[in-house]
Amino acid sequence: MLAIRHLSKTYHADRSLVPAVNDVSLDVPRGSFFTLLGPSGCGKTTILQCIAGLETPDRGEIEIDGAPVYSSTLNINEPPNRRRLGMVFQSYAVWPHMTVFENVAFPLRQSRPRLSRQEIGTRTKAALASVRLDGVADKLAPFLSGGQQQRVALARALVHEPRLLLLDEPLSNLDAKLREEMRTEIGRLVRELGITAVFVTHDQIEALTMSDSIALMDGGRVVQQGAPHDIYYRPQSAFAARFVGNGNIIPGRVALGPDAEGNAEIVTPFGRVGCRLPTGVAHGSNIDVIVRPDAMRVCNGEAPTEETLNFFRIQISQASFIGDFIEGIAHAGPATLRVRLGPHTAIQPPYVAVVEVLTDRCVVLPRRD
Amino acid sequence: MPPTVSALPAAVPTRSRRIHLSEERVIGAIALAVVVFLVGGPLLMLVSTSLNPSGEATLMPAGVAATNYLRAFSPPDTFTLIANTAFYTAGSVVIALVVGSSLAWLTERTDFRLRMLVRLIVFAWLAVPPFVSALGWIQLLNPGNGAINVLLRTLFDLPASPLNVYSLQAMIFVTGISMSPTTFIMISGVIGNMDHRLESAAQVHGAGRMVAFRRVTLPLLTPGLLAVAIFQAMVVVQMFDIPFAIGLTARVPVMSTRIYALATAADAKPEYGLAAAFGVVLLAIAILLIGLYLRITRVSERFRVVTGKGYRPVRQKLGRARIPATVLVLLYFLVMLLPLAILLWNSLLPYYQTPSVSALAKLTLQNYRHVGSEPLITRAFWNTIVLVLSTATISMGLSIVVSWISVRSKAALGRATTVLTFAPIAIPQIVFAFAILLLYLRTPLYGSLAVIIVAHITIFTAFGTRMVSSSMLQLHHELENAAKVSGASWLVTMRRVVVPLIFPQVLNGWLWIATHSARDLTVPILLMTSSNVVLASALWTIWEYPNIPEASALAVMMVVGLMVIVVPLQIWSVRYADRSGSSGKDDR
Ligand SMILES: Nc1ncnc2c1ncn2[C@@H]1O[C@H](COP(=O)(O)OP(=O)(O)O)[C@@H](O)[C@H]1O
Ligand SMILES: [Mg+2]
Repeated sequence: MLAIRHLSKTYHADRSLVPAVNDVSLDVPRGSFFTLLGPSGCGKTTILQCIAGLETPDRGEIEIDGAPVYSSTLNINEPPNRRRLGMVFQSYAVWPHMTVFENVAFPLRQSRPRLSRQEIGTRTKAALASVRLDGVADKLAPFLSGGQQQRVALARALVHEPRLLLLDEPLSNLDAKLREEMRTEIGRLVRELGITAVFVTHDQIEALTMSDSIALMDGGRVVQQGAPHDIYYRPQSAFAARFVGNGNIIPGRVALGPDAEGNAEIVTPFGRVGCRLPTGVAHGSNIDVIVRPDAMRVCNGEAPTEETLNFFRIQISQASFIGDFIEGIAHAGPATLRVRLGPHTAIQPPYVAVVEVLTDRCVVLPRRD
Repeated sequence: MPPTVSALPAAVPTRSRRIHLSEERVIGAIALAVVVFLVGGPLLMLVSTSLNPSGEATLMPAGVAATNYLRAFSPPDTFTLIANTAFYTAGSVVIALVVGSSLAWLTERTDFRLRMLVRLIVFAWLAVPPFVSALGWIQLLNPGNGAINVLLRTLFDLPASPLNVYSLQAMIFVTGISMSPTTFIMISGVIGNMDHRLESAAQVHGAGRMVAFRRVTLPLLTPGLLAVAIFQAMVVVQMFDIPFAIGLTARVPVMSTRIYALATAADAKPEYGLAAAFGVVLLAIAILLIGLYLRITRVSERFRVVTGKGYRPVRQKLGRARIPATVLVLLYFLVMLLPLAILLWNSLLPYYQTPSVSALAKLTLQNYRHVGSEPLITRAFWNTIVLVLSTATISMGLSIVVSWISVRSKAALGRATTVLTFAPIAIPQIVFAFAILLLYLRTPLYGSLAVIIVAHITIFTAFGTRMVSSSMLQLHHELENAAKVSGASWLVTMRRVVVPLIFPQVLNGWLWIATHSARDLTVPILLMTSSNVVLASALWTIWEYPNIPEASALAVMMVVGLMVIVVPLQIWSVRYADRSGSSGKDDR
């Protein structure tokens, strides 16, 4: 549906060059919910604007529905108004001088051949109904709440049945409760309409819950691409592990093994960990162990000895009760780890415990030095 | 690259791209070309004429020589001219600043009660063309039968008139007073932008009120006040109509009237080369002043601390100073009103007369009837309507397109556009009008109303662009991107989204230009022929004739007509700003 090849874009800002997007290639299958995830400033908005035609890339190809809308080699650059897309902006961009109805009807009024008044009316009303805004059609946009404005933006982006729905951090301006509500709502609408969506966010929860497929970005490049559980369970870089799932990154060395099944013993600053290695990691090589915050289990009383593989003594120096869990800073030997413990663990810092590292929740990455 | 991409035919999308971009590009290119021609053409003509040794108006001087400049600055005349201009500028600015800042301080920082009255005078004053107030002052202060002179003579039994309007001092007074309202508005802005907490902080830390004022407030205000002073100095240097109305009779020439005299020499051949040399010099002075102004405003921007919203400084209690303050403000009100009152008085009398009870019996509306039936005035009226409507509309159209280019296009082009359209602000109107005269002298356009329209468009587009581009800058670019993605072409995006969103500023700009075009005398008088007379130049013609009662009647009608536009506009724009708040604006 959407194919991007070798897309690059550099901004010229005050005599300095900002390489915002660097040789990005992506494929978005028809009907899928595709997410660009990455920290702020990594180039997500730039990619989205290149897809929409609001920015002109320096190089590369963008193809929608099998036809190029931008190609540096073929010298093609379709203007945004010819691309037949829908877009939801971070600031909503609901036009304050128009009513809700006029906002949503706008894309229909631009379609060629012209639509009849009646058709515009029915389709606009249907779009408003689908985002549950039927009651406020005649209100001026500034009189709406943030959540309602977001719905107007969504209805406006969908009313003309675009080939592609682009969403640029649509939830970031909403408060926590509305954000969750809109998350499900957007997911529902997109799936119901079967539309292909490209969603931009810096929030891992949004990305993991909503997407069929995620492209993780860093510094203008795509560093990993895959289904949400792929990204979460099989990070391919320390960045991916840290950005999705807040993994602790522990440097280590393969001290024993690996055996035929790939099991090996790794020396880390806080002790020895028994873990499965990915293929291709040899004995004696330096690696990173990714320990998820939830990969530690407190074993009070039942602890064997600390000398046993995967059992360690930790000291918790800070603990915050979040509600569903307790987040703490743990010290094990010279290492500092972020940990997440069950809400019923009775801890009072400084708290010393023996924990088991659940190695099926850990990932080993070969170190690239 | 996958084969599908390169295998696709390129023809269709490429063509669609060309068609689309042409809309934005073509309109933009036309607007830019028009502006380049409007601004660049006359300036080129001015410079080349000033360098032409033969003194003829030309774009291609036969040779390049400083002859005109040397002649322009040969003594003894030059010294008087420079001294006059310098005194006139400095004096008027000082008066305007003293009056303007006192009023601003009273209304912004004290519990003075007549605040609304001050604002009302100030806003209504925009409807009074400077030369109309000059005509009023001439009726009040002329040495023969000026109303105030007659009054003083009878009161104190004086042998001769104590005051003379035909003097440099009177010219300074009239100019300073007539500039005090704009000065007040600018200084109110400076005071309003100051962070008053800095002052309070000084007081909390032990400084007395006077010390806090001297050590904190004054240094904070200085750059802003200086900027206002320089800006107003630029305005006075350029000022043509008051020196024209008063200074010619008074034989006090300044630079601007000298250019006029040389360009329109009634009995001799016009000295275009000489006038052009003066024009270039005046232009250089104005550019110097605007450079200085920009420098100072940049400095004062650095000083500026944005005041927290809703923070209002405690108003100083006037206490016993209330009575003198009230008296002074009422006196100011009287001074502003007097020239209009005498015009009204004389407009109601069959012949010129100083105010008296006995004259009340003769009051009549016949002047107004005459003015209404005079063919010259009827023609001037329709010409003015055409002038004002087309100037305001075309200027705002150009302003919108040009602002768009300067705000939204990348680096170099945007900056070049900005400089180009702002340039006319620094160019004295009399110089511009003269340069336009030179350029169109030998074309059929000369002498037509069109040439006045062209001149006004050139001059006023700069102001329109300033208003429009500052409001476009505040528009979040996602608002227009949303329209583009929704399928709207550039024109539709402009028409349905951008222009409606900045509509208050567009309307404000339109009305501002309309008012200033209607009240301008400089351009119409310099480019006047029998066929392109407008109300301002018609008023001058009748005044010169002299038919003072009818001139007064016409002046009163002009002021009233302008007031009908200006006053509701001011009220409306204040209300609109309150109502629409900051919706649709970039809030980052
Ligand atoms: N119009 C612009 N001019 C100059 N630099 C820009 C512009 N837009 C974005 N950038 C820079 O490009 C980089 C990527 O920006 P963006 O795509 O907006 O990131 P994201 O949406 O992922 O936060 C950032 O470093 C940003 O500062
Ligand atoms: Mg962004």
